Amino acid sequence: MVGFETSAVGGKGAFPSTRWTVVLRAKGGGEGEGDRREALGALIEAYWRPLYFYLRGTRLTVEDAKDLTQAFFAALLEKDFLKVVDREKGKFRTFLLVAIKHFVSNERDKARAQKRGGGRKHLPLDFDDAERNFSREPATLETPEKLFLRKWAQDLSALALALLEADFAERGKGKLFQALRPHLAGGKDYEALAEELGMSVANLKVTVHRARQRYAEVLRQAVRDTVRSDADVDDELRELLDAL
Amino acid sequence: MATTAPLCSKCGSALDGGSGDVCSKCLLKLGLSTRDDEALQPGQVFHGLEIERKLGAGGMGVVYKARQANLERSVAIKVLPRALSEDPEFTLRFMREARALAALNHPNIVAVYDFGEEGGRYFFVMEFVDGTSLRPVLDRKAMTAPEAIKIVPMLCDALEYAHAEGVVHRDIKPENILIDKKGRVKIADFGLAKLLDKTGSRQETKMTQTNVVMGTPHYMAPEQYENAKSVDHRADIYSMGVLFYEMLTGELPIGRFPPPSQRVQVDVRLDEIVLRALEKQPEKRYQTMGEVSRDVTRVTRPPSKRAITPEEAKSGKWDSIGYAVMMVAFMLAMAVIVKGWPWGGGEGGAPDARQNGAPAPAGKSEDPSAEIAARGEKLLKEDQPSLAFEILEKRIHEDPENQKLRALAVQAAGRHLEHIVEMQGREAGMAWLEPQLREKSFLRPLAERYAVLDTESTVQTLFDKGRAQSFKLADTTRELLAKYPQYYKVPCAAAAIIEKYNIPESVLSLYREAFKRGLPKGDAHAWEICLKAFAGNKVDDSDGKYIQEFAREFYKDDRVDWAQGAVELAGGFLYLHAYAILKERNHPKSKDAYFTALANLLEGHDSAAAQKTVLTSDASRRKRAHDFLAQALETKIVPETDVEYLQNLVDELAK
Repeated sequence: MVGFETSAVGGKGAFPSTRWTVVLRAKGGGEGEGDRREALGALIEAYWRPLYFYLRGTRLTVEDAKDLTQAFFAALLEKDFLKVVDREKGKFRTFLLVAIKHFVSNERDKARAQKRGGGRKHLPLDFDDAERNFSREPATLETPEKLFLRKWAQDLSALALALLEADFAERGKGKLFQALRPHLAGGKDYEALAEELGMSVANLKVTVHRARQRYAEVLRQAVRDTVRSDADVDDELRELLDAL
Repeated sequence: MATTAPLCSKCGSALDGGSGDVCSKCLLKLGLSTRDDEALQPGQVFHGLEIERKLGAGGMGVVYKARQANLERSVAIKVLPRALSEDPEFTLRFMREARALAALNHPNIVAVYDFGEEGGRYFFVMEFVDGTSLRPVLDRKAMTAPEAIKIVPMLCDALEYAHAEGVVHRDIKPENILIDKKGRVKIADFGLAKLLDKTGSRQETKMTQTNVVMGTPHYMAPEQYENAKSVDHRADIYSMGVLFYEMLTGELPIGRFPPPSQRVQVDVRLDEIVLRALEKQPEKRYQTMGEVSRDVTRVTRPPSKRAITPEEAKSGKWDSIGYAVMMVAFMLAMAVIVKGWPWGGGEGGAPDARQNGAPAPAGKSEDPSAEIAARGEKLLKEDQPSLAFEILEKRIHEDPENQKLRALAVQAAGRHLEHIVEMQGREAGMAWLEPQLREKSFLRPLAERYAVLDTESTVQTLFDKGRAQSFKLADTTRELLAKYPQYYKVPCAAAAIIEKYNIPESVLSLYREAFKRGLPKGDAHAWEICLKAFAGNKVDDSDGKYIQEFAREFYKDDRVDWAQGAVELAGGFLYLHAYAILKERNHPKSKDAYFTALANLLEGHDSAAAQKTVLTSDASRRKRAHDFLAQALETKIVPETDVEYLQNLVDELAK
């Protein structure tokens, strides 16, 4: 019902609105059609890749998977199917997965019945990049759900990293971030880096520690936005970790 | 092409999703508040304390129950996230703050016995409070206004004491208010918010503003958002205001909220107290906790001297009686929340519940069973089913064939059961009911409820445990159906849960099973959910007979519109069956229904089914379909893309 309004307390451009806030705005709860479209755009940007992976995982051809991804988001833009989204019911991730399943089965039936005309709007999604990414997936007998989940986990970790980067950049510390980046998960070889950056090792350790903590915060917030409550964040993280 | 794939700088595995130098797994691990390899295991000895079990986990670390052998007492250990020890500044801060916390000594504050660092993990050893936090109590709306009014001054006093000692809590919220089995309230996690907050360090203030991981935004004072550094004790006063509001009304004061007295029946003087605590500017708020406490206490006093009975006068002040009675009632409510509470006369301290029950009628009754039945009924009316059940059950022992007593006992047990289920969950309800059913034959009517709870709980657990378990769905439902072959509610209950996870095949097959078991016409609720399942999912021809049943049941005159709406969901197929019934009843809407059905079919994605249905029907129906379609084609309501297809159909029908 009530989402955390990160956008209200974050600096300008420092933080994206929380996903659930975006969903609510995309449902039309915001300030008119322009706002709704913008919110939907943000949603699509964040989540189309896992869905594309899912579709590819269902043994659809590249072309069909592209078409369906486009069609799914076109339908999301045109129709009101976000109306049924209810935060209280659970994870946004699950909602999207159920929605795409339904969508695919409906589309199949439509195709079976008869071909209908009507050009679809095309969204500027970089399928080539996504496909390169997909083909890097080990060619195992993974279920499409697993592929979706794994891509979701990867995108989420990358999203948090990008947010952290933006945060550093805004404070004029873009270069520092690039230097810290390899040390985010676990530091080694501090001496060389400290020398390179012209700071003491102790100082560098503190800086790395803060960046790490900050990453954890950003990541937890990103996860928090897709689940029901604070208490679910750890569980969701563990589930995502299991998928990797 | 590339022979050397880039590797994660942390774990050395091949990089995945393109996060730069670190793999997603290592990145995601950073987000966990406690890593699995950090957890203490039962039996493990930590700082000389034997770990018994994990009590909970949150952003501030993990709490365990442990045994302090030499003092033969239970303690709670809070172990802070390991990541903290990587911060060189934290050690200093920890030692400084922890000392201040350990110095606090107040009956309504959870005592800190010890603190320190072991193996890179910072911890507090604290008083173990055997009870619950206020959170489940509030979530279950199990607190009444008088209870809130009694508790708040105690909390205020504790906070006032801490403030005088220079300690601000900074994170007052229901999770941090503990209530033990004797009804005593204690505030936990004093000052931890500050200790763990990164605002202590310079430059990162902006970061803290977005730090919703640590704080609890709804209870936070506005100034805590704006500049967490300059927060003083008045932030606690604000949080206390939020908590008080929630305790009184069950709601949070968000946005433009009404004063408490508009939401619940409470003394209007409380409105002013709560609103003043909730002032946005600290200067306009109460300035000390003592003032809040004083004003609340003033409201609780009876407005004028009322007649006090001689007994009351003898035993002391009215207030203390009122308090005692209130606490007994409150503790009874708590009893259902705290698992394993020896309510109902266990050893040690549980009050004799009956003293709070309804008094027996004054005059001597000739028939003790009738008297007990009357008392039972009265208790039920007062919503005290457990007390009612207790006396009824005892009497049934003496008078086993008394039908009235048996019926009332079933009712009381049923309501008590629902209380438990609501408060503690299905498993707790079953745990209570199971021995009752075994020992008391008169409770047999509740056996079906047990079957339903078992079904719901088993199926839900499957999903809660995740994907791997949910694969066992088919086996599990089969087992449940075999275990309880006689109840139609069992498949319905399983279906209602599975439905949430969108597995239409299982849902439909379970409802089919419910039909076979003779879904009674009287159970409108079951019918409604069944109909929705059929309407929302794809059905096949074999479902036709069930759908006809539905239609017969629901197309009674007063439900026609509702049923039409529900049936339309299915895109027309059900409608044709419904049509048959409407026609049977000579319903004026039958013609519309038929046309709508056709239109839906042709519009929807099931045109193959439509074609089959229409083409294989009898002559008069074919004629009507032909006329309708021809008419539809003429009026151009048909989408252009469908014209050719429909024209063919019309030609076909004309043959």
